[in-house]
Amino acid sequence: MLFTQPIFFVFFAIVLTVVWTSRQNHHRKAALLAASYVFYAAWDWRFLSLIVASTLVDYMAVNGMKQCRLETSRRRWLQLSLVFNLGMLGFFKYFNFFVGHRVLEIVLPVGISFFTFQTMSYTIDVYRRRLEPAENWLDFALFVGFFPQLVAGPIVRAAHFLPQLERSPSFSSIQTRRFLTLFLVGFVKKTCIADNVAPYVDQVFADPGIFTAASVWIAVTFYAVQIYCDFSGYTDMAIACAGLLGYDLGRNFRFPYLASDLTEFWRRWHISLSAWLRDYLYIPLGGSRGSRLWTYRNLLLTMLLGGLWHGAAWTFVAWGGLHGAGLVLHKEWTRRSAHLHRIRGTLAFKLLGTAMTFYFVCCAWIFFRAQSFGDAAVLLKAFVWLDTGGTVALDMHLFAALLTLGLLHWISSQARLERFLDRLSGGSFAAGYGMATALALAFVPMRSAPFIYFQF
Amino acid sequence: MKSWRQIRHATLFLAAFTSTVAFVSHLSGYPEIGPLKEKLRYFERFKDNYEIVFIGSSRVYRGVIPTVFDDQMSSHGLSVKSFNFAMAGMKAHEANALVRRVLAMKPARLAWIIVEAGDWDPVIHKENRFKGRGIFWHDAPETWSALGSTLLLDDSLATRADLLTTHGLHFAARWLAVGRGPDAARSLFVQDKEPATDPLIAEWQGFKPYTESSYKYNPLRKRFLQNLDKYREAVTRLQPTEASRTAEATPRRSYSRPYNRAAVRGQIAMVRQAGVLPVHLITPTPRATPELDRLAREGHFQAHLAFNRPRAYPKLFEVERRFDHEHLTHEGALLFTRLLATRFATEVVTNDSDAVD
Repeated sequence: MLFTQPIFFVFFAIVLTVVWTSRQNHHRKAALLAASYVFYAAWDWRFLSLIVASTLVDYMAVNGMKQCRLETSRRRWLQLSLVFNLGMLGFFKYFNFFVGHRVLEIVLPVGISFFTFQTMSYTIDVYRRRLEPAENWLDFALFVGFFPQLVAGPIVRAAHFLPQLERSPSFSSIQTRRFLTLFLVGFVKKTCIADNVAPYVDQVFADPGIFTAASVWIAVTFYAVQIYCDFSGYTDMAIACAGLLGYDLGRNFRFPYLASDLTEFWRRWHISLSAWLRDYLYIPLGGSRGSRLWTYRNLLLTMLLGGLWHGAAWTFVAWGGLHGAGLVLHKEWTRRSAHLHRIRGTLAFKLLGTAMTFYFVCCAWIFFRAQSFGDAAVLLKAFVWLDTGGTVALDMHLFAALLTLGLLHWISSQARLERFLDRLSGGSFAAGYGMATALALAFVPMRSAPFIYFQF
Repeated sequence: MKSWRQIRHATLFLAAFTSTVAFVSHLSGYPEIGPLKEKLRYFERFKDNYEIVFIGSSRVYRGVIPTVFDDQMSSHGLSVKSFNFAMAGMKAHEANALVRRVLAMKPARLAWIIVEAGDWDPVIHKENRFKGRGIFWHDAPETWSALGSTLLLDDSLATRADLLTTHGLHFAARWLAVGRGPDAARSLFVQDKEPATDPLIAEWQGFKPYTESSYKYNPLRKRFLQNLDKYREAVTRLQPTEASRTAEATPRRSYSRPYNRAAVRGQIAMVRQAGVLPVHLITPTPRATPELDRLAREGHFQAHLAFNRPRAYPKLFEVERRFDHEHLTHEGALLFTRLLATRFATEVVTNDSDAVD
């Protein structure tokens, strides 16, 4: 069940009705948990047991920790949780990768990388005494299985979500207009943009050697557009659904392609994963507390593992490695160019930084999307050196589409649009929303592709 | 007070939504579905010149040559002009929606619609769902008919529920103009007032001959040539049943089902109502069609021309005249068209004085 499918609208309408007609918070939460399990079972009912098992094990581990006085015993409970979650993730996602060839036909349960990271953060935080354990099993199960963010994030922290479950939200406090707009924006990003550029990307990445350098440029930049609109579109819809149900999931994207350096990019892209990797990997590895080289090592390691998190393939590791190297280079450049702080603050410098960052990010996306290192090399040669023996060309008008999309990205980053929407009367908003919904449907391609991040 | 405001907002939303959908639909016109858009555009310009149209699958598309048909008809003293509307993969519901569309154009001289008789199976396979083509035949009458057929299937409840939903969603997608934005934008911003017509349509009147490369590289032809024994077996199996076609072996979802009979009756009534005579055609396929034969015997067809008879038409089944198992070569198409015209002139036209008038 995808957020863009008609069946989801029926499902969500039922959930909204049940949730907002329930008088007691406990009943609301029970209804939401049941709905979340139905939502997940619609993908593959067999894997529902994994979520239930993960929930039970972590709830048990945390309760075990609560009752222990000795640190060693508490650590054992943490180890149990980590071994279970990482074991599950390792088996379903990385077994064949680490064995080196396809030994077992393993189906990857959708969203496993997201909900395992979410439950691990909970047990680690409780172990570190930074978080009070959940009040009851229902709250914890809902934290793990809450359907808007279950299959592709954002990776919500227990400290952010559990307190919300204790309160009983009222419908009048919901910013309906904001969340309806956000849902439509997400829908447009996914179906009208990502799904419409996907055929061009697929075409070139399937056989890159036969295309001209200009076509490769279009395909690679289109892929940057596709993955952003696909993933942030999903996140927008997830946040909007949760918001309409009375819960806040936090922000996952902040116009990442406007970042003027790579460090800023990672503060704007998949924010919940970056923060998770920072708090549970980079800092425990030592963060920036040691020497400069040690910091760089930690950064590189974190990004390599971040790459591996996305998928069991060396191309993902290379993508992570490239970003790690880029972050190291940026840190080193920042240190050495401290005396240039005046120039660094100018608009021209920032624009140059944005262009360079986007170019670097696109180069790295090549590894993320390519089927093999061979294909990646061909694409990179065309993208960087404009060198290709291919003759097949995509329509060059697509460059105009790219510029339009870039402009849209910038316009939507300006707060003016939100202010304009806020100022509209209820009637104008309703009419405008009706018109925008009809136009969005008109640009939905006949066949929508699944969300890219579902495979992670 | 608050509820009035909510009703007002909901009304405004619906009004804006429906008027935008209507605007997009109005601008977008007929979708690009194979050669059909071109054919419709061409036919619309010259619709009053035609007395006969052919509608059906690739067996008709590649098998009936209108110019040859017209020549043969004139040799029988009948001056007609015909057009081939067929398209690869066209099934009964889609064909019926096209029949409706052609009739809606009100071609002044149209007297006969020759439509390929086929199975009114309402199943849409998963790989064919939500494609422009499937969406577009879901007009209200056709969707209603497909829903009725689905209810009468003897498949499991889950399968029928899935099919009902699928037909409903196709219908909704059509009426909400889903995916029609690019066509609407093109008609708004691209000056395309009098598009050039595909010269092949004017030359062949909707028929499409196989190209040289089709003869060399078409995978179906390759498979056919590699498995000629199977083809010959199929033809041989067909011969004994030819003289006395029985309706004993009735496959699933056949014409013998009530919904199939109802669909054929509905089609005939619709065409008759427009003052046109429907003729059902079975092309020279090496397959038995016991249900269609039974339906013909029971008198459900207004007029019926069957060519899946190797004894009666041996030349149509000779390997040299077959492009593949189902289709004819150009030589085969020439022969089939002449035979069709002769039978049509002698069996249909002479019995239909109203239409001739």
